Amino acid sequence: MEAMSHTEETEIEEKYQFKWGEMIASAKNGEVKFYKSFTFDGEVYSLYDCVYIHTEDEPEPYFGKLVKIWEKRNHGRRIKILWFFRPIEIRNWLKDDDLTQKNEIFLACGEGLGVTNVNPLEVIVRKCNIVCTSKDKRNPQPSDRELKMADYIFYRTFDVGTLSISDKIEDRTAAIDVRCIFNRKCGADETRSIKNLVGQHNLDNSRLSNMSSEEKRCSDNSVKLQPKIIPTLTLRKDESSSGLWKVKVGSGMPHDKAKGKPVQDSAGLDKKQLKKAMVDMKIGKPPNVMLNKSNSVSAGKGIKTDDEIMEVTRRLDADTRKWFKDLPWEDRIQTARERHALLLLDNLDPSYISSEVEDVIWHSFKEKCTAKVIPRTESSSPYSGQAIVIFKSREAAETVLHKLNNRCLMLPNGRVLIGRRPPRVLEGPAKFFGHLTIDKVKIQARGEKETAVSTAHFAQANTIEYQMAMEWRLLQIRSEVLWAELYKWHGEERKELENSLIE
Amino acid sequence: MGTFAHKEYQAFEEKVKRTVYLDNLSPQVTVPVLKMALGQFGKVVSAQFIPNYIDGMNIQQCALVEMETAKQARSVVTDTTMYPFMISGMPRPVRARPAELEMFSDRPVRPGRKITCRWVDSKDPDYEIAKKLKSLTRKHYAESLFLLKHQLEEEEKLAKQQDEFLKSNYEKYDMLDSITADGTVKQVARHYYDVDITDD
Repeated sequence: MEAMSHTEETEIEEKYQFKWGEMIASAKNGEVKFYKSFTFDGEVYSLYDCVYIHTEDEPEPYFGKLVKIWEKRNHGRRIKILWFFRPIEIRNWLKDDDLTQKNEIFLACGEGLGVTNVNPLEVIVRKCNIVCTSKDKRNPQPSDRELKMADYIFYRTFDVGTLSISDKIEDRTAAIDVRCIFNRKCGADETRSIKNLVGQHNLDNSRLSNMSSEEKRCSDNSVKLQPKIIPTLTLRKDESSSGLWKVKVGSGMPHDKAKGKPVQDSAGLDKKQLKKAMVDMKIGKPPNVMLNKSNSVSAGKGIKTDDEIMEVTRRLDADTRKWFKDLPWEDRIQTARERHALLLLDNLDPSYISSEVEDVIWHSFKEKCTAKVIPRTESSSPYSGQAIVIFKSREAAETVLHKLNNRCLMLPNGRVLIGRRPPRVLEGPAKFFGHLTIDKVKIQARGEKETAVSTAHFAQANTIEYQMAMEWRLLQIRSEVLWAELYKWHGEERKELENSLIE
Repeated sequence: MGTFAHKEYQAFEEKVKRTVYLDNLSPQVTVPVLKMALGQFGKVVSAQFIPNYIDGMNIQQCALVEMETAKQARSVVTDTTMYPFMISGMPRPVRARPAELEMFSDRPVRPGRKITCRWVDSKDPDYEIAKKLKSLTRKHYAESLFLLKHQLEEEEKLAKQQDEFLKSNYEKYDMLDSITADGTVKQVARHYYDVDITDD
């Protein structure tokens, strides 16, 4: 299978302006070319940059460091990624009070699968700002500003071989000099490390051939390219069938319930299974990730500090959603309801619009969603706006619900956001009381709904109709008074509590 | 861009002033029906139903009808409030109110708004109150649901009552009709009151 047709490649090059940067080495008579950097859609990606890698099956992107960039003739562009782990991915080996910072992640190291992977270059979503806070002398310490700007920080490693966490970063991780893993100091340093790398390539022939074989395996899988949206992740075939499962089982970790996917030869897996397996195994993911998915997807990240006030701005990729034509909302809600990916939010400022609700969710949970505020009617509360939110997955919805239940998300004016599962929709035909001629109208309306001639009129004062209409009016006014009283009372109760808030 | 957003929002606010909110509408009512019904008050620019995504409980339909001018919109509200106005069925009249910004699900963003949020956890001095606010909101929601249910029950009760009333009324007229037809009225009139009520 060809990784990608040539025309496709050119097309993408034209659209997103892909350009190679400086070439640092070549091998096999120019068959394989190694690069220091490349430019994609105006962004320069260099060696040792951290990037987001998106997969189709996971709502959360993975992230890793680019440790090798190359192109093999007729086989497309490849990158080698050194992975980072989210705390949730290794939480069986992590004590609860161990996490000092919410945005901490762990560098993969050690011997075994899950440290690095070779991937098509196209799986990169965008750059990720990861700062190393290791106290190692060789690590240029980040400034406060850099720390604040960081998406994630790391100073500890997770050894996939010994399954242990350490705050000492080894001199070489996955054959990468530790100086390339630490923060960058200045240009000079970088050049030196790149020279090192060049030396590596030129000197270490066996490594090179090693890598070419890696590359060969990689190129067997086709890449469906959807740059900048959600590229399909394709990974090395041989990984899916070996390694970590056995490692984990062998090391006596209690993961037997994990999905029960049999370990078998790649030959025995059909393509679909394979793909799934590949994603599962992608970063040599510890199997517990799969076990605890439900309430873990985004736990412990995204929120910088508890007391910090986050300003809600437009989500970065907010505009990409406009690329797709949406299904009608009723249908989407129905499917989301069936998938249990639907939540009802309560206690929003009634003046928020749908996209603002989406942004709030994005900023507080780092979950993408589509939201629709529920329009006000006469009986809606004037204090509390509601919105219906569709999440990517049931897990995402559950996570958000769990967090909203256990913690308090404070919006301006002392509004604490509430989430709940949407109430069940009543079955059966709609009942509407108070129209006596319904039977006749029904026949008419069913037949020619769009052209139905309506009978709209004012009731005359001397008829029974008028008398009965007055009874309805009375009922309407009575309920208006009731709603007004109820909400007045609600308002007072709210105010009393809100006034006692300190901030 | 800022001015564009402001302009867009202003245009929207104008639109709201021209729009009437209607409820107590039967599920039989469609957009063309609405347009025709309100056509007698002026020119209808657009009409849409307020979608009800969540509760199947509130089955009356609500709609927004945009008129050509704010004056027309006002006259719809005053006239239908003064006299009971029926659309597609009787005797339950529709209710009209001036529309409000929040009734539009597709409203533009209010320019220059900043939203901030923060997590309040157990260490925060506001945590207890935040928790109370949460349960208060839940309580309020339950109360609204209860009132909504109560309202539906009342509607059903009234509909039943009126049905009974109409039935007995119908029987009354039916009886009157039949005794007129078979000559009983004539006989009784002559017998007791000595009056001749033949239509001469």
